[in-house]
Amino acid sequence: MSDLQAYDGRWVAMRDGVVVADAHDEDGIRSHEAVKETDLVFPVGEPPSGFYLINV
Amino acid sequence: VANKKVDVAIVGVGWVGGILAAELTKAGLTVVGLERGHDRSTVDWQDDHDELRYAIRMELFQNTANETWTFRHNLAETALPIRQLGAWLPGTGIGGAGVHWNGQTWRFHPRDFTIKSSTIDRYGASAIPANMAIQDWGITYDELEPYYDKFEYMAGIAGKAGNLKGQKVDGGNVFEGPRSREFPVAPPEDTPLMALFRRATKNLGYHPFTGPTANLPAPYKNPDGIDRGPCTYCGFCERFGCEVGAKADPTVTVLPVAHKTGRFKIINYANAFAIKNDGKNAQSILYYDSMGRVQEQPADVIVLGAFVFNNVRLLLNSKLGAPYDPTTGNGVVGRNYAYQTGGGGASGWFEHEEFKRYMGAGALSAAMDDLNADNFDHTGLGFLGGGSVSVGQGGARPIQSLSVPPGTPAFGSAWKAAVQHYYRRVVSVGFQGESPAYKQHFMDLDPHYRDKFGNPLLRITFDWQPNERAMVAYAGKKTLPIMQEMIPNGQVASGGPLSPTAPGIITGGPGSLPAHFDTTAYQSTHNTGGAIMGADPSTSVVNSYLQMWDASNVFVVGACNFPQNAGFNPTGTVGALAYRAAEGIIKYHKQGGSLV
Repeated sequence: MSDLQAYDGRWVAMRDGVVVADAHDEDGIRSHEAVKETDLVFPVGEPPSGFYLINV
Repeated sequence: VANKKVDVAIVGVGWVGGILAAELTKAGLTVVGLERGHDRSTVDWQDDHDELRYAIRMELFQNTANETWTFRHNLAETALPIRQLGAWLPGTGIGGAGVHWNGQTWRFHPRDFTIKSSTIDRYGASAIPANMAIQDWGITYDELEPYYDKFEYMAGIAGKAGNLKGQKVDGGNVFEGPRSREFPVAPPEDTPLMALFRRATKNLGYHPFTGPTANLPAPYKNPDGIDRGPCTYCGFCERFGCEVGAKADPTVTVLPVAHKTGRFKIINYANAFAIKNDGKNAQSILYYDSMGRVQEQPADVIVLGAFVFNNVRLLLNSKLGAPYDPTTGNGVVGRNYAYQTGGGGASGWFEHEEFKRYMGAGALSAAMDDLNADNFDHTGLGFLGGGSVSVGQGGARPIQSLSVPPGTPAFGSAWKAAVQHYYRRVVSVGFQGESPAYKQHFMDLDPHYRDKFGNPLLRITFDWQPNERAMVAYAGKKTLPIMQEMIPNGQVASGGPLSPTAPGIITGGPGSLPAHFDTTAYQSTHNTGGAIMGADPSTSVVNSYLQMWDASNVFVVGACNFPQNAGFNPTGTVGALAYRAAEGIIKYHKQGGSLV
């Protein structure tokens, strides 16, 4: 499994637990030549600012 | 010298201990409850709107100077002790977490109990990631339904059914499993904020409803004859005891019933550290009393009804059940640790609308379930699971509820002006996601660190996984349009300059999780697993009555029984399991042996 620490604030594409590409935003990662349609694509890092209620 | 032997001895006097004490003593059994904290009741909360004392300094929670946990993200790391409470807040004292909860009282979906077989049926076995360890519960929703019903009628849960005996009912949660009857209490009225969420989500084609709540909107007398009055909407639920007893908690519902029988005794300041056993049956609970002396409580039946971590640690320290080994997959105690996945929400700062945010109740909310569980088609999405989406009006306490839009200075007069301006104008649409089990997520005994009594701490191994990252990214894309519907023409903050004429500012979009799980920031106290239930002794600790496969007179009950966690708050299911266990213990006490 790839350690995602180096990708904080970026989008990554992951295949079988390994990062195959990263980009600044979703469009960039989706259009990356190394990314297949079946790869998992998601951003890494703190959620957007604001507050979220997850209750005790 | 051992205490007098009783029929049943219980570790922990929270919801599980309280429900069992009431049900078992009503059935004529003698019961002792061992509680590490002290006694308390509604009178203790008469003047408790002290946010610094309860919410910041965390008076009602476990003291990590006495006992804590070690944590690591994976097997290669060395686990370190958690020195201050952060990500989760386990309670201590009579009533346990049932005193400081918010009162959100859900039933899990029928699919949640058969998650593995249902997933394979719909998407095929290949849809489940190789390291994911989801498994069926060994009990179905239909089998658990009568116990959900018991818990809800005891606690006086308010809501509107969305599925009565298989008939879908508009206005309730149409995705829920069939209920045998309506909620015992009608739902609270919509606040303007809840009504706004309801309109917005309906416009987008979703199915909103009032979140089921244990904060009574009206007086209620339960089947045990317990009378409680309604909520005053003071807004001090989460992290606080209820000053009027309107929030269902064990001290105002089940414990008075147990005490009334004359067959229930509580021993306070009792820190259970081991279950004396011969490998087949247990004889007694060993505990430290308030002076630190070892004491012994013998009983015919031993119940572990403490928080997830304490139940699992007690089993491991007592050498009851085979410890889970993540390298071989063998063993059961400690396996399938899971949590609750946050992120994926959206926030809005309104310019032209105000909400009375200072009023509220912990579970006063409008919700939708369209994005939870398998309520939507996951084909091609690349992940499994979902979560509940809601807008809550829990009360906006003066310290922890301040929020200003992105770009606001972090201090000074501009910050103060923004705090004042937005206090009544900020709203959040939250997402509470599932947490599947994984082979590498588990609990065991730490080889290095010990508590103040010299016993090994519990070690937790956990991190966010790609499935949940993709789920949260997806959720954020769905909650953003809801907030945009709530603030038409609101400006989505994207790092650029904000328009002074926009009717509101919005943040949201694809949700994300940190590179690694962060133990320091509060997220949820919905820790689960470690003593999971199931139909197979090789993959579960307890059977469907929460009776240990390896020791028939030991019952382990709580969220530790969840094989993985659903996209809901856990207390409704914990309560249902406690009622199921009570029935099993009464049966066992008469006939002995395995109940299945």
